[in-house]
Amino acid sequence: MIFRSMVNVMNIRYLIPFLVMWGGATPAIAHGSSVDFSLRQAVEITATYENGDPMDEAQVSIYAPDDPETPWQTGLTDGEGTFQFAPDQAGQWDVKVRKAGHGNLVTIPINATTTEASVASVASVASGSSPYSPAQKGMMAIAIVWGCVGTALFFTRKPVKQ
Amino acid sequence: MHIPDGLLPAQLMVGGYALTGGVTWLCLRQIQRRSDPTMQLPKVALLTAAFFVTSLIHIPMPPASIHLVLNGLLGIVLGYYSFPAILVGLFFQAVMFGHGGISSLGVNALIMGLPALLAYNLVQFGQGMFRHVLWRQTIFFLGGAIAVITAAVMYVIITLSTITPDLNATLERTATLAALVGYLGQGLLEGAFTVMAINFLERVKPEVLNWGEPSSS
Repeated sequence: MIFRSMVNVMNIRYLIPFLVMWGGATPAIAHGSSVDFSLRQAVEITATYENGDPMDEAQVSIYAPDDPETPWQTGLTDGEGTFQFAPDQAGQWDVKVRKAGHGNLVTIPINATTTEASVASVASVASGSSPYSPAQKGMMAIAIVWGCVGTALFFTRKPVKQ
Repeated sequence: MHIPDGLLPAQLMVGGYALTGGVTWLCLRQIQRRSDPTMQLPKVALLTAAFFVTSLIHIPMPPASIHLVLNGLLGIVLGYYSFPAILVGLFFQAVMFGHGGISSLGVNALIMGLPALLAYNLVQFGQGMFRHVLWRQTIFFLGGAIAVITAAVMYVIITLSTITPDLNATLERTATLAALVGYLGQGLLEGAFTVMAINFLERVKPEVLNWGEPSSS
C-alpha cells in the first residue's frame, strides 16, 4: 500500500563514479591561508520510489568493507534523492537507505583503482539492479492475473457426466 | 506499507513467518469445515488477482499518489479465505516487483491479513446486529477503512520499534508518523471504495457475498 512513501522498491543507481574535490584548509594564521585538494573517486546513489518519485531526506548509512557493524558515514539524501560518498578502500560497501520504514540495502563493489575497468564494473552492476521496463512489468502482471483467472475457470468447470 | 528485505531484525522475520504459518493453518482449518471448500475458489482467485494488481496502479492525488490495498474488501467478501489469498498476493508482489520482500513476507502477511480477518468478523457481527440499509453501509465502510488503518498502525509500530542505532530516531519517527496521517486518509478512501464494490456485487451477483454461510457443515 502506498501513500507516496509507500513504495518499498527503490532504485539505487550508483550512476557514475565521478571526481570530487576533497578540500582541506590549514588553520588560519594572520593573513596567510592555503587550500589543499586531492582528486578521489566518489559514488553517487539515487534513491527513488518505484513510481519514480525521488526519496528525499531519506537516511543513508554507509558501511565500509572492514566494519559491517558501525556506520562509516551517515547522512540524508537531497531533494533529488541523491547522496554521494567517497570510498577510501576497495571491497564490498553496504549502503542502507531508509525513510518511514521504506528503503533498501544494496552492496556496491568498489575496485582498488579508478581505472576504466572499475568504472565498467560499477556501471554493469547499476544496469543489473535497474527495475523492469513498464512493458515488462505489464507482461509479468498479465501472466500472474491470467494464472488467477485460469484457477478461477478451473474451479468453475462443470462436472463431466460419466 | 510493505516492509522490504534487509530492514528487519532476523528474529522478527522468523517470528513473522511462524505466526503467519499458524494463522494460515487456522484459516485453512476453518475453510476445511465448510461443506464444499473448493466452491469459493473462483472468487478467491479473482480477488487475489485484484489484490495483486492494485499495488501497481497508482492513483495520483496531489501532492502524493496512492494505491488501494483492498485488504478490507478481501476480508469482507472472502472471510477466512482472505488470509491465504493475501499471502499469495504478497508473495507474487515480492517475487515479481520487489514490493516487500521474501524475508519479510511473514510480517507483511500479518500486517495485511490480520486486519482483513478483523474486517470480516466486524461485518459478520454487524450483519447480525443491524438490518437498516444505512447501518449496513456504515458497517461496510468501517470494515474497509478499519482494515487499512489497522494495517497502517501495525506497520508504523513495527517500523518504530526497529529503528536501529545508526539512524536518527527523531527524523525517522517524524517521517513515519507523517506517513501514518496519509494512511488515515487512505483508509477513508478505501472505506468508500469498499461500500461501492459491495453494493455493486450485491446488485450484480449477490451469491458471491453469501452472507451468513455457515462456517461449519
